Amino acid sequence: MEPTSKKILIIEDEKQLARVLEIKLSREGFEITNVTSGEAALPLIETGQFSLIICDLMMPKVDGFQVLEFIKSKNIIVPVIVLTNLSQPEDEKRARELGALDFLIKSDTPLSKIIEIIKEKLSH
Amino acid sequence: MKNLILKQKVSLSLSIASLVSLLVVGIIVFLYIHSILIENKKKDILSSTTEQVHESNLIFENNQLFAHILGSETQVKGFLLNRSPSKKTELLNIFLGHTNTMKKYLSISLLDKNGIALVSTDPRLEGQDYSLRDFYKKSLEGEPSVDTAINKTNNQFGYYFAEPILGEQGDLVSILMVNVDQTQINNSIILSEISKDNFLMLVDEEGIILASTEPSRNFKSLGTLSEQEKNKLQNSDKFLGQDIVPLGYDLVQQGIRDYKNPIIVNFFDKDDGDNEMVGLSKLNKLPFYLVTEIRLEALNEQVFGTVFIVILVILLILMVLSLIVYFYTIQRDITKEKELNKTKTEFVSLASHQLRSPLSAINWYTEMLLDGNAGAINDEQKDYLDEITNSNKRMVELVNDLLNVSRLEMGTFIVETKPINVISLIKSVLSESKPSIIEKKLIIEESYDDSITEFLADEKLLRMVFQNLVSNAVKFTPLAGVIKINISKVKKYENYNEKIIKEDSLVFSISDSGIGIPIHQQKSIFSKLFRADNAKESGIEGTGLGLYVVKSIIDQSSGLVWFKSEENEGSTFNIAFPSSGMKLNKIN
Repeated sequence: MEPTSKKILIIEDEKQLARVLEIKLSREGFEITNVTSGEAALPLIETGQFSLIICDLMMPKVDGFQVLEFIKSKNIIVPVIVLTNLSQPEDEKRARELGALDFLIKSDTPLSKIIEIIKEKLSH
Repeated sequence: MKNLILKQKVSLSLSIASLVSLLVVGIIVFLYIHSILIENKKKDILSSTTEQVHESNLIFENNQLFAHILGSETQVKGFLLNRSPSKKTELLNIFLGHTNTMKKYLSISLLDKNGIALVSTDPRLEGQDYSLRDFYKKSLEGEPSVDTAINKTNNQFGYYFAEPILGEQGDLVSILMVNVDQTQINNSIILSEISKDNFLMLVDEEGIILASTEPSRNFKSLGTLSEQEKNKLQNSDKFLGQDIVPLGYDLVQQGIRDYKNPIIVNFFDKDDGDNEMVGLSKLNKLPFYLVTEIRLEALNEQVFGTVFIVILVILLILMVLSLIVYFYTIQRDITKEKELNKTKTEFVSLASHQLRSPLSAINWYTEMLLDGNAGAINDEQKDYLDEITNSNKRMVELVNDLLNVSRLEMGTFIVETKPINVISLIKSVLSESKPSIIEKKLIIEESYDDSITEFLADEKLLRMVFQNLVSNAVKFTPLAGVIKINISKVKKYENYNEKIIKEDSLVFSISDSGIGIPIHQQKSIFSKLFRADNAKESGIEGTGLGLYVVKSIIDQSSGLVWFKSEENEGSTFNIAFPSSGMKLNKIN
């Protein structure tokens, strides 16, 4: 495993959710950077230091779709898992078209499942 | 020099010839387009009247919802037999809540089986006897109906919508009576799209105009009446003893007498001295007709204007290009509809986000505690945390169901098909229920037609249908029961589970050996929020939304759903889709 392969960026504006994700994923041995807005995420993503990004969709100012657009426009290669509570097929379609690798609905997905998916994506 | 003159002559005669030919082409095009536009306008009139039908029926549908709020038939009977002051206040509060929100009703009352008003939002109506009304007679036959009458207490003309509430043996227990102000119906007609350039009338079975966009015509007759008919109507309190003046629409009156299908009649109005065109359609389930009138003069002006512009454009093109080209376009501004759709979609997005976020937090933090991430927990603590997890799961399911329902009802959803393997889909849905199947030792018998490879379907919608049907079968089947799942191909006119299939179809059926649906409640099983009495008594959780979602999806994607059920024996739900696949059903 490469040294950077455990660095994960979590973009989540709801502090309670960001907190539990950070605690759980840190315990699983991942190195977590938490940002609470899409705006704050953009310069970090550009450094190219993350091996995976977990991104919410509904956020003020710069939302998840714009984050995905940014990654696409800058040709940054990084797997992005969308973790959201939006569930309309149009949202999923749009996110996937913009390059999201997976689309998970928070209230339907246990933490254990999220970890399983992250591990699977990182092993590729 | 001579040659030059000759050339001029030739070119002059050529120009005249081309002008004449253009004129001929122009006339032909005029006649052609004129007939197309007139036909289109006629179609418009008929299709708009169908929308009106829908609007009137909504009032009735709300009534049925209201009967549902009252409770089960047993509860209604209980209320009628032992009325206590506290129960009465409670019911009145529900009534009042409903009138305040709907604002469409003058009053809502509950009558006993003898036609006496027991409780009403308008206290003046309590104790009134309605047994002489036509709607009471209809209610005795178990039929919902509408009656027009003047309300003697408040002296207002209105419509009475009556909905019988039947007991277990089909006997009349009570009647829900809703009084709608005539102006409400008038307003809905005036507000309707078509009234902007047309003239609308709501007409009863005798040809009397009850409401119209031109109130001076109210209570007049669409045709000639015999002296006997006149006397009868003037003495009846339905028409306030007014003079019934014939308006000379004899052909329309004739249409009402031998009504079969919507008709369009051209006629000359003696009063206005105009040529007019009238569309007549019967309001679904109601004893009323909707008559749409449009002046041919106005129509002609409109059509002529359009035709004139179109011809001008064509002639210009012909002159410029010297080619024979013609076309016409019909444009409609859909900006507003698009905006409305956007607002609806945004609402669902917002609602799902706001409702689900706290539920996600509860889920994840409870999961951390259960995993021992905050230290070891004892059995009792684990037990309590499991209760939290289960309750939260129910809440998540309820939110998911409600969101699905609102998407379906707002009509913003789309049917997006691709070839899928339906057998894998149902197997994947079954695997989701595996823990319950194992726990209840259920036997699953699957039979699939081997020749089924791929089927054009919207995977998400079909999954939702399967999930609801499978989870119901698993929920309602007792220990060691049997669930049978079948997918097969059926040819046109073949019989599948007691239904003749009208076209080549793919059919699905899910049978269980569960508690079944009581026969008298089978007609309500697809209603929103409805739960059968035995399901409620069994203590098995449910929202009453599952089968409603199933039916809405299937109706909107060109499918069919039907079922057979016997109490304590089990139920079989069947679905059929045309072999060509699921597709959005525009009619719904």
